[in-house]
Amino acid sequence: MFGICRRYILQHNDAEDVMIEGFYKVLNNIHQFDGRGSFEGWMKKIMVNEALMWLRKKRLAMVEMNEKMPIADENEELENFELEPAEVLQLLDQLPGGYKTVFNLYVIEEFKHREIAEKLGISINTSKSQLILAKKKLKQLIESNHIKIPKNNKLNE
Amino acid sequence: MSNLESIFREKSGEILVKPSENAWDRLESKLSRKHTFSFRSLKVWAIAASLAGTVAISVIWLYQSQATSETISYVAQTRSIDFSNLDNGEILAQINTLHQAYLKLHY
Repeated sequence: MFGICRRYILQHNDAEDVMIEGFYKVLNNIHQFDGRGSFEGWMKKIMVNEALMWLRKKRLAMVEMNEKMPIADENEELENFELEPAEVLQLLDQLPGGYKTVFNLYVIEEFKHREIAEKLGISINTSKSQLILAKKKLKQLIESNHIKIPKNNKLNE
Repeated sequence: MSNLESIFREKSGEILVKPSENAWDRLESKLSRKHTFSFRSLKVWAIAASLAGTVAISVIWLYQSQATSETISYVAQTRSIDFSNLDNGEILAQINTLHQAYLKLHY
């Protein structure tokens, strides 16, 4: 659960505060869990909402963009690369707040752009553009940080 | 879904970051604070409710005793009147007074 909070919030202490608040809500609202779906999923949802609330409060959730829609990278695929979980977190930490929030919600939590727009109070196009920019930035970071680890080499180790 | 997305989705579930040692103590103290608070607030509400109840009962009792004494005074007044010396209008006025006393006594 702490990993979820850290994916959204850069500072360890802030993420910890959010996690504690999240657990507090889980324990106080445990009677509201209706048994549909997994308990872990319900807890994760609370943690994500708590993190989003924190970001909104600190005005870090989103920077509304007035620019025109960025063009999606035609070749998003990165060939022969592998990432460790710690590297995933490191890369997410390097993304600007808005990119990171949308990327987390869309790619990891699997929300639709419409749902993200509702959650963050932004337009669907802003959500889409932030995702495109987040992916571009991540690709750039992966390539420039030489995180690219050929799968073959790894297997030969 | 690109492999960039699939790798992030897959690996994000494996991120292991530990909160600090005192995180659970903080959660525990937060939970116990909440319970203390609710117990205190329950006491405050109980005192406030008993005070409000006392005030309400006193007001009702005062109102009722005042109404009863007024009724008694009406009745006492009407008993001393000799109806034989009164004209019809005065008799009607006295009947009205008695009627009012009756209403006050019963309603």
